[in-house]
Amino acid sequence: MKRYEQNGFFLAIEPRRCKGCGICVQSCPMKVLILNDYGKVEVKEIARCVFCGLCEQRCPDFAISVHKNLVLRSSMVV
Amino acid sequence: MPNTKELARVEEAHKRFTGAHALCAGCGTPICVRTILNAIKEPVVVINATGCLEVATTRYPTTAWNVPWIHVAFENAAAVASGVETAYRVLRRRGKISKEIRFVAFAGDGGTYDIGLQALSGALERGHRFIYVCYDNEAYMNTGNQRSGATPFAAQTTTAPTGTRSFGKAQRRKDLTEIVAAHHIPYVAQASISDWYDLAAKARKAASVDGPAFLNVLSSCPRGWGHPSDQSVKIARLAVETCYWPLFEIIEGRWYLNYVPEEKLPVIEWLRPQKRFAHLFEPANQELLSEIQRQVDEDWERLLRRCERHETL
Repeated sequence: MKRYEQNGFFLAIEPRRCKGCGICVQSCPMKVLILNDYGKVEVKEIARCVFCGLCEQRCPDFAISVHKNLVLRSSMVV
Repeated sequence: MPNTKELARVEEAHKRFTGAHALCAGCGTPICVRTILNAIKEPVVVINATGCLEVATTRYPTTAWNVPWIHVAFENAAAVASGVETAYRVLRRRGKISKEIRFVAFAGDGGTYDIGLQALSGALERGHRFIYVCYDNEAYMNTGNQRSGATPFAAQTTTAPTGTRSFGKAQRRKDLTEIVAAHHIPYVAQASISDWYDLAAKARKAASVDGPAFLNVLSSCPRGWGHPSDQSVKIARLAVETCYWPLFEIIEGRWYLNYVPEEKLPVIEWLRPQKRFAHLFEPANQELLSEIQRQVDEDWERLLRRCERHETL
């Protein structure tokens, strides 16, 4: 589980769930996400993230989620 | 109306459908399922027909479902849903259950357009209170891309191959949404995985009606349609923008159009990224492209005449 924090929000990525489809990379309006050399999603620049939640909404594999107040939601714990 | 944060809250509270399922990378179906289940506030019971979703989410001994879930056979998701709903109604009348429960049936286009049609028709006619969701990926993708009643005209499948004497499927697709609307049920809607807000609103409306509700959701399939997995949502969006897959709903027999594109794109924009339509771009098949455009225009014009009011979300 990787966390990327900013302004009381954070983006959590669970690489074990990611199948590397790239839907989140395509959906992101601010181009925050990229696929790394292993084909898994990674955050390129968290400073640009506006925490809209589109990546979470569209991820078919529940690998990425947007959280508020730095409290991890239990559904993300594998 | 639902927003992403609210859907995430429901997901947190119920955790109805989770990850680590075996659906392909870029599959549109889990997006459809999670949006619909998160949009419904009441407890749900899921009925599943055979299909990609059933096979890939319930590999023994694991499951991706955290709700009561039942699967019987390919053809009878609607019949099983009627049985479960009737049992619930009886138990409720006897005072053994006090909770409001919603019944959601998920089936692919093979299990809805072709194999499950008579069970669906019967259940709709009897008026059971359940939501039937057809995730339409336009062929039997679970068994390897065989043609179904939902496969569009001229699409290549393994049982409708292209060659010197064949250009893919020679028949037009069935308009299931209209067939279901002809049952005069309280709520029928057509949605797409690309427009999650619209889909979530429709799922919520479907859960609120007293009687059967039907959702036909376009769900792209990277393996079968032949597009890169990251383009899944975009392809579904293009189907809406080209008016190939209009978003509309039928409430108590009144037709409402939910989305009219500002500029109607030519259907070629939707066909080009998909490998199953690659043969249409050969010089010999030019007239097929114009035939598809003609069919799309015809269906769109008919829909515009039917819809009395344009309701944008």
